[in-house]
Amino acid sequence: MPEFQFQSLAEFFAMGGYAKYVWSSYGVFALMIAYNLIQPVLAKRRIIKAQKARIQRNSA
Amino acid sequence: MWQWFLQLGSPRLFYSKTDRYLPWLSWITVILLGTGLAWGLAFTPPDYQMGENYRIAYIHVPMATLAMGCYAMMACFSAGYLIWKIKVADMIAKACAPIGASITAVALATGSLWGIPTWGTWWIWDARLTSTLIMLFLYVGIIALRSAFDSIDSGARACAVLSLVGVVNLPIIKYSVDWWNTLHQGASNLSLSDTAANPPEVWIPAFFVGFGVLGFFLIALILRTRNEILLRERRAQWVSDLVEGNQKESGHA
Repeated sequence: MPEFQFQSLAEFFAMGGYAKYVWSSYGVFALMIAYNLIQPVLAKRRIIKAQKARIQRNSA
Repeated sequence: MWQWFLQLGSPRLFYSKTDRYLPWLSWITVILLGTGLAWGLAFTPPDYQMGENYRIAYIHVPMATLAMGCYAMMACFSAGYLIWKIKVADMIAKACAPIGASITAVALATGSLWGIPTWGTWWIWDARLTSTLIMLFLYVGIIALRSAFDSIDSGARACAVLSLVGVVNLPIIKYSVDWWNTLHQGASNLSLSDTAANPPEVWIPAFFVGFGVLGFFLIALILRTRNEILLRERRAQWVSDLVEGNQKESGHA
């Protein structure tokens, strides 16, 4: 089984002095994932709202 | 199998089928990404030269691979659209561009973050980096080109042609590290032997992350394609029914 490679959580966050680089890499990655999932969900809401408005205009 | 593939070519069936696939795909993706990233970040031994900093590889390598895979996929669907005039193929190709651009940007950014402490510079005009930057410009160019057309069909054709022309860049990226003397390291040889450059405890978590980001890519692609279907099919009865259904649900609140 793989073992936890750090002595403490503090050492884990310090990443052997490379904290800046490692954590910003994972941060950029997380932002990209969030953008690509949230953007289409918001876009879908806008599309459905516009569609509803159109249907109501047509039936009125 | 062929039947299934043909059904996905119908916008309506694509929409209803992906409705069923998305929950499964999401769970698999969360498990793969969660396992792979935690493993890579904390449970694989540090590199003997680069120390803990090499853990950036668990993001950088899958992102760079996926960026190229996404381009290849966009080109295939573009060809599918040009040859058979399949509308869904164009919608998928359109969805590929912004996702591919953001993935390429992450590949370049994480490469820079890796380069600062390792190479002493965040950028150098070597073949691998430059050809990857060109891929980013291709993605951005394809997005801009489409928005320059009022007609959906003309925009789709122009983007499909540009996507196919840009394929020439893919082998250049892939083989840049062999063809030219680059600062970027060569392809990693994966092997099961103990003396390999990358032992299994290093690349097994990388496989988890690799399939995890592939799952994420498919989810993002499906979500964007579904939106495009709703927009383009807005005059169809099934879309009206779908919208009305949403109306009833939100009417209770």
